[in-house]
Order: sequence, then C-alpha cells, then structure tokens
Amino acid sequence: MRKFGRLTWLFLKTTVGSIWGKQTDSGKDSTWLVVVLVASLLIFFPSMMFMIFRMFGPLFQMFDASGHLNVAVGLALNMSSLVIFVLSMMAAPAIFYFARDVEYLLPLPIKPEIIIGAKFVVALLFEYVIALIIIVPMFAALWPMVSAGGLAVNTIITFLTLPILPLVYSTVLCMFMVAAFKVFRNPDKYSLFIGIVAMIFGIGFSMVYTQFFMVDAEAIYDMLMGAPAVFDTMNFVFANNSAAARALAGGGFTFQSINIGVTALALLVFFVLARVLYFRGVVGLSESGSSAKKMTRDEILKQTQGRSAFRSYLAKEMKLLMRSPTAFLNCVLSAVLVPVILAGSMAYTFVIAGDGDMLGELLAFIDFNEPRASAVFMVIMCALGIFVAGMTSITATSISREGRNFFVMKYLPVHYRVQLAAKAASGFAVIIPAIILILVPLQIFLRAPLFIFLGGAVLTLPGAVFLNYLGLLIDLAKPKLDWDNEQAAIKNNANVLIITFGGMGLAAIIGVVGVFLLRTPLLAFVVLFVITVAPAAAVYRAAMLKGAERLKGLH
Amino acid sequence: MNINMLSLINVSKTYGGNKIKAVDSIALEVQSRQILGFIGPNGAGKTTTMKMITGVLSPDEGRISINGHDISAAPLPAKQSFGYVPDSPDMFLRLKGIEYLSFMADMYQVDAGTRNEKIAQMAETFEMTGALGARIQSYSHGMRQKIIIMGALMHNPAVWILDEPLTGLDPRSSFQLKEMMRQHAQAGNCVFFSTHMLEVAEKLCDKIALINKGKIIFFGELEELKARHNQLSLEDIFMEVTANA
Repeated sequence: MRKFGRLTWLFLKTTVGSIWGKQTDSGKDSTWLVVVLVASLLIFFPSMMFMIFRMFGPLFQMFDASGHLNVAVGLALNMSSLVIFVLSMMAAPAIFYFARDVEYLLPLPIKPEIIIGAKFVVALLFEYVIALIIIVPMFAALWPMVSAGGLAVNTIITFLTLPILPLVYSTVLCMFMVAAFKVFRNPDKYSLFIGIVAMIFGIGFSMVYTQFFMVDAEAIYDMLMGAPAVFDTMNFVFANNSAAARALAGGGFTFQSINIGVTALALLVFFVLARVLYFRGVVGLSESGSSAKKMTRDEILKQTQGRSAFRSYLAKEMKLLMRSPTAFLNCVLSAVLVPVILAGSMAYTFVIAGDGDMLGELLAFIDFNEPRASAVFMVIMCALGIFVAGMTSITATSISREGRNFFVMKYLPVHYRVQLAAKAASGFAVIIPAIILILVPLQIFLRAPLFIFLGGAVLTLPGAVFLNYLGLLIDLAKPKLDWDNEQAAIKNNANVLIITFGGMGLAAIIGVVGVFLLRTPLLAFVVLFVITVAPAAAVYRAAMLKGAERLKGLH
Repeated sequence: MNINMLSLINVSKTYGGNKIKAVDSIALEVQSRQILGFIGPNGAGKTTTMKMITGVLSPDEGRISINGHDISAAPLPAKQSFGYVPDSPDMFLRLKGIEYLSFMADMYQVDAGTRNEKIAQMAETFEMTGALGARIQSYSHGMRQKIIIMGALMHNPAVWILDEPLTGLDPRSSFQLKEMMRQHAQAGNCVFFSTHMLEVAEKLCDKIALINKGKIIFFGELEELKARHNQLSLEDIFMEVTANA
C-alpha cells in the first residue's frame, strides 16, 4: 500500500510537471501568469457552470412535474459520462504510455497491479476536476427538486463513481489500440488520431447540445419519454447511471448500491483486462520507430536543393507545426476548422436544408445598396482578421515551442530578424488561408458588390498583421521554454490565452464600435485602415527591432 | 606558422542572482593545427564556456574571438566560422535526417554541389546513408549524435567546437570522428572539444585545459602537465587536481 501511495504521488507530480512546464526562463512561474490564469479560470469556468445550470434547471422542473425526474437526471449523467470518456481518451495515453516512466519502473520489484492502479488513480483525479465543472451545476439545479433524505450522500457517491466507468472504457480502449495496432505506439500518430476524433466529437456534441436546448422543454420531454434508441444505448453503455439517477431522484439507497456494484465490477474488469493488454503495449514502446526506406541519390538531391535562410527557416517551422500533433491540432486545425464550420453551417442552413426563404430574407435585410450595410460588412471583415489571427496562436507559441532547444536559434549564423520574420511568416501561412476560407463562402452567400468585398478583404490584413506580430512579441517577452511535453508550450501557455481572448475582445470592440459609428463604406474603410495599419506597423517594427534585442538577451 | 583561431580573454559568467561564478576569469587560446581537450568534472563550467564561445550565452566580462571575429561585436561572421555540436543531440526530432542536413546547409549558405558531396561523404563515414530518410525521432542516441555532427560540419568550418561529441557513438564512428579531428587540425584548422574520456584526450589532444569550479587550473601541453605530476596518467592527475582544488 505504501508503494502504491508513493507511486501515485510520483506519477501525479511528474504528469502535472510535464504537462504544465514553466513560463519563464528563470524556472519559476511569474505572478502575472498566475493572475492571467486565475482571471481566466474565474471568468471561463463559472460562466460555463452557470450555462449548464441554466440549461438543466428547466428540464429537471419539467420532468419532476410529470414524476419522471430520474429520466432527465439519467440524461444529464450520461452526457457527463460521454464528455469524460472523450476527454480521458486524450489524457489516458499521456499517463499510461507516453510518460516514459514505465520502462524505468518495470525492472523494479513492483507488482504490475500497483503500477496500473497508481496510473489509474492519477487519471481519475484529472477526471474528477472535469467532473467538478460539469456535474456540480447539474446537482445544483437538481437539489431544490428533491426532498427525499440522503441526498447529500447520494450526490457525493454519484460524483465519486461517475467518472470511473467512462475512464475504464477509455483506458481499456486505449490499451487495446496500443497493443493491437503498431501505428498507435507512436505518440504523434495516436495524439493526432484521437485529437481529430475528439475535435469532431466536440463540434458535433456542442451543435447537438445547443440545438437540443434551443427547442422548448416540452419537445425534449416528448423526445425523451418516447425513449429514442440513442438514449437506450447510452443507458446500456453507462449502465450505472440510470441507477444513480434513480437514487438521486429520491429512489433510495438500493439504487445507489446498484451504482456502486456496477462501478466496482467495472474496476475489477479493468484490472483483469489491463493486466493482459497494458504490458503487451507498453513493453518496447520506445523501440517503435520509423520504417523509412533507403533514399536514392535522386531523392537526396531533390531534398537538398539550396534555399535562402528565410525560406529554409520558414519551411522548417511549417514542417514542425504540421508534424507535431499538439501544434497541428491547436494552432493550425483549430484556426482552419472554425471557418470551415461557419461555411458548413451556412451551406447547411441555406442549401442542404433548403431554407431559401431564410437566405432571401437575410439578403433583403443586408441590402448593399444601403451604405450602412456595406460599412457593416467592412467592419466585420476587419474584426474577422483579428479574430482569426488570435485563433491560430502560432506566433504566440513560436518561441515557446522551441523549448530547451531554443539555444539553436542563437548559434546559427542567421540574423535574429530573419529568424523572427520566418516565424511570423509561418503564422501568416495559416492565417491567410483561414481568412480566405471564411471570405469566399461569405461572398458566395451574401453577394456583396466586388469593390466592397475587395475593400473588406484588404481590411482583414492589418488586423491579422497586428495580432500575429503581437503574439510574437508576447512570446518573446515570456516564453515557456522549460517543458517535457509540448502541450505545456501550447495548451498551457498563458500567451495563448492572452492572444486568443485579446483577439476576441479586440474584434468585438472594433465590431461593436464600428457598426455604430461608421455609416458609409468609404468612411469605414478609411477609418479602419488607418486605425489598424498604424498599430500593425508599430508592432511589426517592435517585433523586428526590440524582438531581436530580446532574443539576444534571452537564455 | 600557427595562428590564433580561438581565444578567450578573462571570460566570466554568473547565473541569475548567484554570487558564485559559473565561469571565473578564464583565459584560453587555441591555435591552428591544434586539438584542445577541455576536461573537468560535472558542473565545472565546460558547457557554460562553450555556450559563451558559440554566442548562446553572453559573458559578463571578457572577450571571445573566433577566427579573428569577436562573437559579441561581429556575431554572424564569428558563427559562420565554427561548427558546434551541443551536449544533447535531441533536437529537430520531427525533421528527417536529410531535412535537418539541408536546413543546416541553408543556414550556413553551403552551395548545392558542396552540400551533396558532403552529405554523401559523411553519411558514408558514419554509416548513416540508410537512415537519412527517417525522422530523427526514430534514431538511437548514437545516430542522433552522428546527424548533429554531420550538420555541424556541413559548411566545413575552420573551428570545431564539440561538447562531448563521442558520447553514444559506436566504436567505428568514434574512431572515424577522432580521425576527422586529427585531419582537420593537420589541415591548418583547430578543434576545441570537451570530454570525460580521459584516455581519448590523452591520445588525441595537443593541449589540455582543465577546469574546476569555473576556474582553469591547468592549460598547456599534456607533457607539461605530466612533468608536474611525476608522469602520472591523465586520469590519476585529474583525480588528484580535482580533489585538491
């Protein structure tokens, strides 16, 4: 038991350390970082929790009134389980496989169950944090409706048991994938696969979730009471949730005992399967390598054609961005996917769903003969450039992503300005196509006059330049260089938060102020161009001059 | 006539708020046709010194000149004239070997003909021809070390600065690299390398610099060092001087 405790603590420390990293070069997180993170958490999580509370409150009331509260609670628990399952599919390999601590533990006299158990507990603790955000507001919406005794105990037991079954599913599935398919032994390929699946799931889930709660509560009531197959399936997969739901809705401790029993059985099955699958996948994990064939002389010649330092540096940046799953998913795909989804939803609404009337109404509302409509279009375009640049986070992580190999930048015989310019160009290489991906469908649907469209397209650029170079400056000021896991440089980097939320805020301010104040397209174009070009030029100059100086002093 | 290719004049470095100097007023020079072995215990200041020579760190005091170029005043010509192998080869892991070499050749402006010839020749020497198409991530530690050495020497630099270059190399590659170091020095260039392999330093180096706690405790020819210590082996001398320092 002592070994189990020590090992759990060790895994917890190393996992948090490797995912979190350090923001500054001195090795200590600075006060400003803590302030930014705490502020973001205080804004983001409570608002999300409040949203969940607002969504489930009326639903619980409706079902409570008809005496079927347990059905709604079951739905809430199943949805939580599903979210935990998907998130733990992403977290499980980092804890179980790619932490690379197992190869040091295997030769030690520690029972396999202890290693597996300790890792499971670490994964579970992470899931409890997520469960806290999702489930607590649901419980808060539920509590006023339940008068039966033992609610507090039932709530605590449900909270403690709920993440276990989805975590068992995700870890067993992850172990099976790694043990059965060699391709998933490569952390990059696994992360990329799961990351894309999770992103698609996340978008789909949020669309379904939003649509689900946009219809009135009565429609949901009818739908659930009709017991559609998808809910039956979820009740079957997350078998403990319907018992837990009945217990929470006042059904008594018998149901809670069933929940505990099913959860315990799941844990037992987990340990049996994990013993078979885990060590089959984990042994020799580090040996899984590339199967590249020997290059011919022609292939070598093709790869070694000379390029300028700038072009070569840019090519290197792009290759590393595209080949790192964390960077690709968070810096490239996220930026490109937003416009694709917007275009897709527009296409769905106007074309596939055949709601031509709606398009007609919209077009009638946006009459480009009216100067105001053209001005609004230009304001939106300008805000869009800033928003998309904020979504990429490429330059905001460009120094951080170098990590401990940052020193290479300093011994290459290439001026720092050239290296920084190449990093900025890698940002533009994603921002510009992302903007085009929004502009083209927008123009197809809204059919703005060509000069208005071109004017709007021009206005996207200074905002994008401003935020792209601002990201570079911010990352130069406080790069996160001390990390083992690249996630720390991208996902847990305060610079990303600053540039993403800063971009959103700035885009919103320009959008709102511009829409109210700028009433003709010419006025909108001139004012927006002037007010965005000046800061863009200033930030560009600062990045190239001060940035190079900062780089020189950074170590 | 030998010329001065690398010189450090009273170079010091202190990290952060520490009062203890990581490198304390060191002075060294390496002339053409010389191989200088830089030896010392862990944490003695070897890597810090090398990072200052290569421009990765700025010295608090003193001057560093490489092939006649001051690394602070004229960083680009100074950087162009050396090839540096850092102590860890775990870099650019997601690039293929050939992509890394091509990148380095672009950074050092090596023309297409020279780079192809160099790649073919070094890949043959280090038995890396079959691995060039694979990502560095999939290489063993020794293969990573070899590809980093190849990248550093791609532009045929006059000054080689190698931080423990033999670590992880197989015996054949280790032998080849030592031969290359000898030939490079004989051709009128210089090699400055750190190592913990004292028998290698003993056989290979024209001069030895012994560093401990940030200070140079001996700089000169090996015979001179041995003469001062009753002809003991370098290992015995190392044990003695680092214990007493």
